Amino acid sequence: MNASAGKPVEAAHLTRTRLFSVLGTLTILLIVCAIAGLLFGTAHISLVRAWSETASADHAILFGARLPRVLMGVIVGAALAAVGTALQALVRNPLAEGGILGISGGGALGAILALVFAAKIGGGEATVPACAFVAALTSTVAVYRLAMVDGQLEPFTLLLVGVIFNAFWGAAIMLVNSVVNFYYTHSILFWLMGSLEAPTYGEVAMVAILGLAGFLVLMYHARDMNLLSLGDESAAELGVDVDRLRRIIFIATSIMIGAAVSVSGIISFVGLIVPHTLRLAFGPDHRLLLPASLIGGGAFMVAADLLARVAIAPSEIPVGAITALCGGPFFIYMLRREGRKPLSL
Amino acid sequence: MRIVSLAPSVTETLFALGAGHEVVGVSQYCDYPPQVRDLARVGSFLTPNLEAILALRPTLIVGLELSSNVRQIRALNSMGYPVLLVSDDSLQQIENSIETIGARIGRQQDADQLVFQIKTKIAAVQGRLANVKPVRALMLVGHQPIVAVGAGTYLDELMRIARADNIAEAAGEQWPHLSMEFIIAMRPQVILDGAMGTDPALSDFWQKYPTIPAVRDHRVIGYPQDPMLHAGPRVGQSLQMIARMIHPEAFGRDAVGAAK
Amino acid sequence: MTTRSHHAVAMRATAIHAGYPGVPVLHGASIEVAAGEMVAIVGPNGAGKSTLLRVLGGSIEPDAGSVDLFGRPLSSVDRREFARTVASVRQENAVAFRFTVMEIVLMGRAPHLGAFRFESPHDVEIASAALERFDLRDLAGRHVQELSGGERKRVFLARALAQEPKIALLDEPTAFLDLKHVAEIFARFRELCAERGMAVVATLHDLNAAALYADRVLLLADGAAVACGTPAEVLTAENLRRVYETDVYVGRNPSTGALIVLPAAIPNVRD
Repeated sequence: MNASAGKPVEAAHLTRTRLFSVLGTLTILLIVCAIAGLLFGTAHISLVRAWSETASADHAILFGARLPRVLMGVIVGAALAAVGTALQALVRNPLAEGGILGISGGGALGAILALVFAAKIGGGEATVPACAFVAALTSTVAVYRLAMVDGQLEPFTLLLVGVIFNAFWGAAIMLVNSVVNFYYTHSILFWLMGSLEAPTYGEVAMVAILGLAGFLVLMYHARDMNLLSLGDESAAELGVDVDRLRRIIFIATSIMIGAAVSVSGIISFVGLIVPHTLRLAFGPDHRLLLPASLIGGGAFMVAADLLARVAIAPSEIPVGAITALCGGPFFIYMLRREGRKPLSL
Repeated sequence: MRIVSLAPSVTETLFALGAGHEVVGVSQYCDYPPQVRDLARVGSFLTPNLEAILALRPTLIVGLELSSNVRQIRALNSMGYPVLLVSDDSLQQIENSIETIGARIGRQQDADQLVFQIKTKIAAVQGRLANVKPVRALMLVGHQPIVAVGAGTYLDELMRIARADNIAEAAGEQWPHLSMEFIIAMRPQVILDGAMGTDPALSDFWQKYPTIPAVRDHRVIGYPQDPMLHAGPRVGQSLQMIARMIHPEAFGRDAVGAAK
Repeated sequence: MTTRSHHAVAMRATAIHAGYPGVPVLHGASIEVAAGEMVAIVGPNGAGKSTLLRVLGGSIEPDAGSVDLFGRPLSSVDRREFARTVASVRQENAVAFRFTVMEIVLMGRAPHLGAFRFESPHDVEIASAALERFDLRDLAGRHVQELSGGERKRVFLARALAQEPKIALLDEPTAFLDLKHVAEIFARFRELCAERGMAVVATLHDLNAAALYADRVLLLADGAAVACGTPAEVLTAENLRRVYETDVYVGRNPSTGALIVLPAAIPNVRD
């Protein structure tokens, strides 16, 4: 179809102007969502009073409950979306993301085991995120290795391997659940369903730092990710060290997922919905798509969390349920669309 | 004071100590005494809603020591709200919680009195059952899955005082999931079924297993969730009910609880 | 085999033994190409044409033999420098995402750019010129995935050109192309050989194209060179019958004077 005919040569590629204008627009969207997240919640507060009267309930709610949660939402959403973009570049397939490929599941299992055996492992605040990261990394490598067929990564093999891993991690988590004290059950559900409940500013900082570090590493290789979509050999011929790039993407995404999962559990589909929507809107150039996913992911997550908090207040829906509710139909739509148009010649 | 309670047993204790008018918020599952129906809800005792708690401008928050509300408790602490955590896994802990809460809210005397009443009831039951032979018993809190009262809970302790050998103690967990095999093999003489208390039709379920002595002798008894599953001030009452169900003959009743 | 021109030898592969895990393909093949010349590798299916090209392109490491780039061993050339010097276009041209033609061609500039640098106007100019040369100006804003096989092939040729390589390695460059574009592609590459001294190595099925456009031809069979030299020297009925196991007629094109090769007899139809 001539959907794109008539674009002048100059407009047909990414320019600095376009990069900044798109990112600027998305940032405004993010700010709007964040403000909404701060304004609304279970309780009704007045921003004026929250700001001026530091002893008021409004102040406590805004700065003690909502602000850390909105910040965490932005950071977790940003990390998950950026990871989704990078993984899709890595496997050359828009159907890949941390949740679907079983990587979040692995990270969650690591976090749960760390939690349950906390007494024996020792360590401090960093133990759970560290275990989540190692587990996420192991999952990433395992999924990738198993999905490679004759050195080629076939999209449906990859998805199948991801489904299997998800089932396996789910089973392992259920096993842990069945042997531990009943009161751990809720924590385990928290990991499985995902939640941005009551984070500390310390946790926010930790995820922010790890997420940002991972993102900068990915950003450095944004052009290489573009080249990767031509195939491993073609990318190599254009100067990309493909093996090294793969390893770097693995490690960076695992750190980011590990950090996010360790504080918020398994939240799926963010890394699928956000990059895909942005890619449709703004094109597949990763120099734009990566930062756009970062910002867009933050906005999406904050919006989803707002819904999770107010939909059936004062009870909370786990935010992972909201993203899955959006994600399920979205995923089906994508599968059908991709099915009609094969990805390779 | 403006007190928020995060658990039903805590709510009961606060009201029993005469501080009911100072309670501004309770958990979703608090339903005793009836006055609490009009109070604001702050989420379940597993997941308290931080915002709802903060909106009530509490001066004290009382809850159970659980791993599932850790995040919210941590947040409240860091914001400078006083949080008191108690436990209710054993009789001693229940009595201690009453004392602790009483001390905290300036009703030490009321607390002492309440504890004394509980101890009295317990002593009375112990007296009645002094020479009674223990029977093998099982106490269930749910079906599908079958969840039993296990070792390390206050209910298990009550069963022991009521001269019952809790067959579920062998499972080693506080709330074990038991298989029918296990129950059949352990041959309990009395079964207290909390789910059957709500759904009498469950008695049909038990008829499928006539080899169990409790079924054979028509000693599968349904009990009401309230007050039995509330580990609060009415624990003495709960003990009396359990004792009557397990050793009715010691209370002047025949095997099925009818007065002689 | 020696080069005809006295230009510098751009790339030389000597006594190459190479293949895939468990499948040896090349058994001591050698090839050489000088600046400014076009060499065609021809031969039956399975002879190892693509494999040899991939050895030159660095994607397959030979089990034995050596490859030199302007006199330096391949292993001593760093990845990006190699990408600035040698451009490859392979048979399958899949693109995973909906990049535009211009974006794909601009990817050819990557070896020349640092990590965070955007394409400069100079880079855009080079890419535009490459588009021009392969008649893609009107398609610049189209998505590559929507193009026909032939159009896509031209996009990848343009991308190779945007790399400003000194050597182009083309695997079946005229597959999918219609008659008009086949002629044009070769014309363009001949221009590049003449204008810039580009060295071109192309694997071809089409013996007539090889005869018409290549300076020298390498006839490959069973992983080794059977003959190497000018088209006339290599494309003899004798050689071709031996290699293709079928009779051919070799003659001259009455209008161009170029060598032409045609099947001589219809194979026996089984009764």
